[in-house]
Amino acid sequence: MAIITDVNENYPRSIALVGNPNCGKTTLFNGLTGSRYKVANYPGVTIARKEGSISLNGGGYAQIIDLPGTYALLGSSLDEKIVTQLLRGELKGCRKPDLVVAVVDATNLERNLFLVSELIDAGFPIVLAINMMDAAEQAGIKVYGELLSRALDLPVVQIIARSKFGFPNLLREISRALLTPSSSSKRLAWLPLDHALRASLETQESVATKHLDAATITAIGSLRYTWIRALVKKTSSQRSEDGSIVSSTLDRALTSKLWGLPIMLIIFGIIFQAIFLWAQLPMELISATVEGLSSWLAALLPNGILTSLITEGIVPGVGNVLVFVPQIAILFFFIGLLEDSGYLSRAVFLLDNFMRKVGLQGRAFIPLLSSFACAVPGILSTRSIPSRSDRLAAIMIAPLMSCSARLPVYAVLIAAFIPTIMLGGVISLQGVTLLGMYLLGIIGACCVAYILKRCFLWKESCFHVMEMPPLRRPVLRVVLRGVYDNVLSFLKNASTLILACSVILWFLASYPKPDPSFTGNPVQVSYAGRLGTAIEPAIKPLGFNWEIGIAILSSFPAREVFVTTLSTIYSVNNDDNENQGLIKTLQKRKESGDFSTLTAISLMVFYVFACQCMSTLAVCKRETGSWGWTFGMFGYMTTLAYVASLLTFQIGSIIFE
Amino acid sequence: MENAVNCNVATQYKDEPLLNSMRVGQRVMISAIKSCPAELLRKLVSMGLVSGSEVTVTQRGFFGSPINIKLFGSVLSLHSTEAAHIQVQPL
Repeated sequence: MAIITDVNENYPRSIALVGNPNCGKTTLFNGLTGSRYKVANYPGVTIARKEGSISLNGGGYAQIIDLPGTYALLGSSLDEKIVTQLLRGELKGCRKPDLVVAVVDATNLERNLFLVSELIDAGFPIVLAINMMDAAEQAGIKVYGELLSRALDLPVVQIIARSKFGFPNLLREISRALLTPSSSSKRLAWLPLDHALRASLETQESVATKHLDAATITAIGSLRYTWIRALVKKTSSQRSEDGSIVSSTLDRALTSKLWGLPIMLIIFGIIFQAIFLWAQLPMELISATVEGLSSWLAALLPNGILTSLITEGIVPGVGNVLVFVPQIAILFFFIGLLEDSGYLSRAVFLLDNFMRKVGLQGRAFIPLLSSFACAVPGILSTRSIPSRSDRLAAIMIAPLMSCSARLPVYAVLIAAFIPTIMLGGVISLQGVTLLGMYLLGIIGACCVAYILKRCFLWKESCFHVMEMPPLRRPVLRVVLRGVYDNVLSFLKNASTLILACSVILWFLASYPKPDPSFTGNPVQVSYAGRLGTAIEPAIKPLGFNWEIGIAILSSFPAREVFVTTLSTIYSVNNDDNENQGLIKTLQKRKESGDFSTLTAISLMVFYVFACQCMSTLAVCKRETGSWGWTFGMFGYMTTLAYVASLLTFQIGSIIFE
Repeated sequence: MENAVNCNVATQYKDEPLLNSMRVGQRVMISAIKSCPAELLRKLVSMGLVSGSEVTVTQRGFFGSPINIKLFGSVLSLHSTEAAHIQVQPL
């Protein structure tokens, strides 16, 4: 990797925010930049590279980067490695920062100062920001900034990131440190002078970076912490030795063996209900608007190829992307709430044991949960899983979680084919079918993970050890900003792809035009029809005809295209220009017998397992760095989809006939 | 993987109990970290699980895992197999 040594004076100075997870670093970053920042690539949880700028005292501005939370400079997970690489200027496309702002949590000084002590050893110019002074005060902790500043030979500022307390002081210290950068004189201060270790440490930087043997790691760790404990005792005071953080009754209930799981089921039950219920109205509004626009344009524009392209290709294509926005926004809103409140860690605590049984880690829970909205952010958030083999397992099964793009497929088919019966008067059969599809995906994922870990992935030490963030009231501003980032990246990534697909599809379904003497279905002679007819023998055992064949082929780049394709095919089919809903058309076909309920179920099963998403494959390639795993994902999912669908249709035919 | 290293420091504390056998509410002092993969060791050490640290077991999950302990100002969550690397002296 190229080391960037370009020290052009014209570049703005760059500042890196470094600190433990949950030290309030991101809140500080948002506060300093006024939430005006840009996120490079997909925003996972806090993994994406966030960059903004701040104005310095005395004019000028500096670039500021929010780094992922880390406990040590040589962390094992990918985002922890990124921190070390970026700080040393070894990360491609990033300059070595001119200043490190180390953020520490005042209520947890010991653990937070470990990283600071490593940063000092590495010789970075540092400004120390002691955050959460309000929480510390509540816990009876007093920090003497002057003493700490002298002991560490660093500028120290006390702040409360949530209320922006202390920001002017911090900006002043940052500006001053940028003008005259200097590193602390307290390198290796933790090392007793005549200690034997000194001999084994050839250079000072090696302590934090070299591969040391286990005995040395423990010895250095003990010495560092002994020094830190003494330092904290000297520079702060605590009202009581213990009892400052006693887990609350609520926390105990959320993680209790008796109540934990029921509470979790209720919470996720409510979230799923909300996603479907709340999203319904905005989704209907969006599709009605798109349809209205389409017919308005059709009436306004002169008849011709271009009009047809716009009203049958582009507008419905864009509409199909927009229609997901309400669901994605609601899902990310809830994930944001759960994450910011600290509940997600409790859920991991409850699920870890079970997830290990199938070969996953508790940590895979968050990526898999995100994958119910979209596998793309799901796969990206696997970066927080330190072990590569566990990470691969999570990536490979993430697309089996029924994402929001499958929902329109399920919704249309269920509405058209599953009767609106209430089982026992309370549970709707339609709802049960939908839940069944989600469960099928989850069960499939568990089996695949188990087989992967057993047969394909090497055994690797995986660790769970993590800090439980305190339960607290989530900050709405943070949650909403997360929703905004995620929706924006979804739109950016999905719109271009789906737009292109709908244009290609429109072309394939409309050309070549049939002879004027041809009386049959015009789609049948089009390129799409020919392709569908060509694969019909292969999909006939699944209960699919050539029309479904076209829809499946066209939705390999993105599932949601399925609904558009079917509408396109059927509306092209209709001689009368009535604007029939797809559901009504499907019900008609059911009555005429060329689209049975069993076919619909088989089709849904196919969609549960099939890998029909170009964005997922693209992200998989980028995150695994291997075409093998990417094609592996595509191959195993397509095979699984075919086999499961085949079994569904064949066994179903035997039972019902 | 190359990183399973034996940690000689531990051998002298052979008979001491391990963190994963501790009950909720028990307060202990860490005396050593037994043979353990280097990456996990780095992680444990960086989070403050070093000899001399005093921790209290606050919670245990289904079948005893994960095991939550209080150290400094916050709670850490460990899998029981990880806690099995940590030798402790009950206080």
